[in-house]
Amino acid sequence: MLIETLYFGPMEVEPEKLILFPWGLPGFEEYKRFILLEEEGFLWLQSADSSEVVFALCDPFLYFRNYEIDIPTADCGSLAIIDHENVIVLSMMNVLSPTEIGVNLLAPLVINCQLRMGKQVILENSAYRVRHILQLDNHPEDAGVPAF
Amino acid sequence: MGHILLGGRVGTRKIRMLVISRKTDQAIRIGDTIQIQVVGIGKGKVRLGIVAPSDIPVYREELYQDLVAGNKTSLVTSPEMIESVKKAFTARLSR
Repeated sequence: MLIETLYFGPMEVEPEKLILFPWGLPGFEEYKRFILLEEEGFLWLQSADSSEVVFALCDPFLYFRNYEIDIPTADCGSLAIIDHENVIVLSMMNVLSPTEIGVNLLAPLVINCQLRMGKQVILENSAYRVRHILQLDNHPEDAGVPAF
Repeated sequence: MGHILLGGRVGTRKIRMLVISRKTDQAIRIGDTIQIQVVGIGKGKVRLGIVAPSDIPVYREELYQDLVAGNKTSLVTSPEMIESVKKAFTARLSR
């Protein structure tokens, strides 16, 4: 199938590469089908339904050394997650300025790769916030979550 | 103990809003599985006890709204934003 993207042009994508977000993303509930486009060190989450809906994601565990999450039972149920296999966790990024990038550690996107189904999960009782600054001056392995 | 129904939509689903009054220890029930009980009433503050199946997430609304706002600002809306992200990671990975 052909997917229109605003910045990367039209793309031919195998339908089985789509990832379904049955509940959409909070604030973007009407967009349910996405594709992940890999770049060096991060990914784009592009809507298959609208060229203009695209987010930048990164692997939070790679850039925030102390990051840990406990996926709520409710969300494990929704995504049919039974163990850590086939599960990937990605965080939405937010360009704050040309040199500053925020990372949402409070609500990671959890994807069941086997079912190709995902959900933005809220870690309600964690100390994480919607915006943690990605420490661009540090080596990835040095970037720890600040102590709370 | 009247109620008001307000029509509305979330996505493509029709929703309604029910407004009711409750005293301490009284509860409301949503569907067959969710019960919300007024545990206590103080100055400008009400304490609620929520009984819900573990597969239904319960959030504080303001937290959910923070997330909506965060997602909206995360939307990539300009080629400059794309370049910023690419540059940040290219700089990092070339170290």
